[in-house]
This record gives sequence, structure tokens and C-alpha cells, in this order.
Amino acid sequence: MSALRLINETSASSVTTMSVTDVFTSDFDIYKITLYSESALEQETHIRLINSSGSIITATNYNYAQLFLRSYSAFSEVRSAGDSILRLITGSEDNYGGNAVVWVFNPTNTSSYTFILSQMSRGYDLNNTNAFNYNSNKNIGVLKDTTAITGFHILNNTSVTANYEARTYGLRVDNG
Amino acid sequence: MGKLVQVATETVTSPVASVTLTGIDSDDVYMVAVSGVKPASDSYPLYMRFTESGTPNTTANYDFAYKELRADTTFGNSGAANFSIIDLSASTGNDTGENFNAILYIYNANNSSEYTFCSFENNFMVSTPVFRGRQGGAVFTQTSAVNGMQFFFGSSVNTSAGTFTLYKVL
Repeated sequence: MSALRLINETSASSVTTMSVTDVFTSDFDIYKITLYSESALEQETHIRLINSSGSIITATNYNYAQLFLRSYSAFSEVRSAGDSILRLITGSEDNYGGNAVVWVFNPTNTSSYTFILSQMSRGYDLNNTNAFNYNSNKNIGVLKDTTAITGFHILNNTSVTANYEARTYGLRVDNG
Repeated sequence: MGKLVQVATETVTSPVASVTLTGIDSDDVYMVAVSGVKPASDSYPLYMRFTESGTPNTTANYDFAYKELRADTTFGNSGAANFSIIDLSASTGNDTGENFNAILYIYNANNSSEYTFCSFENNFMVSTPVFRGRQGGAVFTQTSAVNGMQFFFGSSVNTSAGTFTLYKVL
């Protein structure tokens, strides 16, 4: 059996947001999430975290830094030291779709902030000519809050309807 | 998705000088997951060395290169050759909430005809406090059989918390 254990699969069609609740527990310190996002209209797919009371955390305690890589022009840096989202985990336009792999560290540990590492790979219609353009990013994020985190919430920057799929795995550690 | 088989793990609950994981004994790729690592004193960098037969190699045979992402300002680039350590983090903080986390992949370690390579992505809070992380890789330029790795903080500062786990990727 793999140490990577599937905990949850959640999907939704034609929605603007999707919550995945009660997936982070004291059973694991590290989680891996695969996320797919597809929409006809342009959107950046963001994440907010959900605390153990079931509340989506909207305070400006998220920090992130990402190297944004484009096939069609220069790379750029995206950063924030105080946002209400973990920005641009993936995204989509013209139904090209976007994928991401997200690692989550220490979400239920109330002595630790919740940290993430992620990478995305998505299609984009740069000039609105229905032509495919590719971009990617390498991302780090943190919620500077020691509240126990038990889930995550998917949203996008333009509130357009999208299809989302998320699989959440726990990385098992056996201490003998 | 590849299967991960746990090879070794250590959870630090009281201060230790270093953490060593061993058990690499095949030509498979290996993954190391690191979470919640804290220095016993505030503001020290975390380093890594590879081990041969369980003993860390301290010679100046490590090269590394990485992009350092920062939440506060322009990202940095860093590279070095012929160092005696792999430089995984800047001055990591140990205040409440602060720690170091990483995923590393290890390549060709068991093959004594090849150098041992690794790639890594990590994040950490520095003591100022500023959020940063590194994306990059490193190589141990010796054609020896590597069976694991050692993690330790600079200036002989102890590690006071954290979990380090080595997996074989099948």
C-alpha cells in the first residue's frame, strides 16, 4: 500500500466556488491535493482555507510568492505579504483547463502556520482570439494563523462558473 | 500516481544536533518529506549532506542552484559549486507558527557510477518575519553509493522539532 492515501474526491460542475471540508485531520501532517479547473471564461482559481469551525478564512493573513512562467512572453514574479486568498493556484479560459498539484503542511497543528507548495499548468487565451497559450507557475504560500485547518475552499477571481475536481491525499508516516 | 513506500522516518520532539535518514538501497527515485522543522535558536539556516554507509560526507563536493521566492520583495537566484553542504534555507525562525517544510527527490544515490542528484521545493519563515521558499536542486559530485542524508542547522544549533521521512518512489 502506498504511503499516499486517498482521503477525498470532490467535484462540481458550473459553480463559482467549491468547498472541500473535513479532510485534514491529526492522522497526517502533509497532504497532496490535485486540482483541475475548467471554464469557458477567463479566471484565476484561488484557494482559501477552512478552519475547524467550518468557517472560510478571509482575513488578510495569506502570504504567497510565485514565479509565473509563460510560453509566449517573459516570466514574472507575483507576491503578497497580506492577501485574503492564496492566489492563482490554477485557472482556465476557453475550456482549455488548468491543473495543479498542491502540498499542504501542518494544517491541524495549532503550533504551526499552514504552509503550501504548488505548481500549476494551464491553458489561456491571451488575446481573446480563441488561440491557445500556455502558462505555469511555481508557488509557495502560507496562512499566518495557527488555527486548526480542516479543509479548503476553491473560488475564482471573476466569479465565473467553472468545473472543479479535487482529490486529497494524506502522506502517511508510520513511526514503527 | 506513483506508489510511495516509507523507508525511514524521524520525528524530533527534543533537541538534537542533526537528523539522519538512511535506507537507500536501490536505483529507484527516493522522496523526502519534511514538515514543521524548527531550530532551537531563532534564525539559522538548514543544511543537508548525503551519507555513505550512514556517515555524512563533509567534503567540498556539493553544488547547488535555486530560485528563492519571497513574499516581500524581488526573488533571488543563488548557486554555488564545491561547497561542503547543500544550503536548503535562509535564517529560519522559531517563533510560534514559524518552521521549515520541504519535498525533495533524490536520484542515482545507490549507483556508485553516478553522481547523486536532488531537486527540492521548500518554504519557511525567516525570523524578521518574512515568508520565503526555494525551488532548485543540488548534486553530490562523488561516484559513491549514497544511502541517505543528514539534516542540520548552521552554527551547530540544534533541531528542536520536525518530522523527516524518506520514501522510495515506485
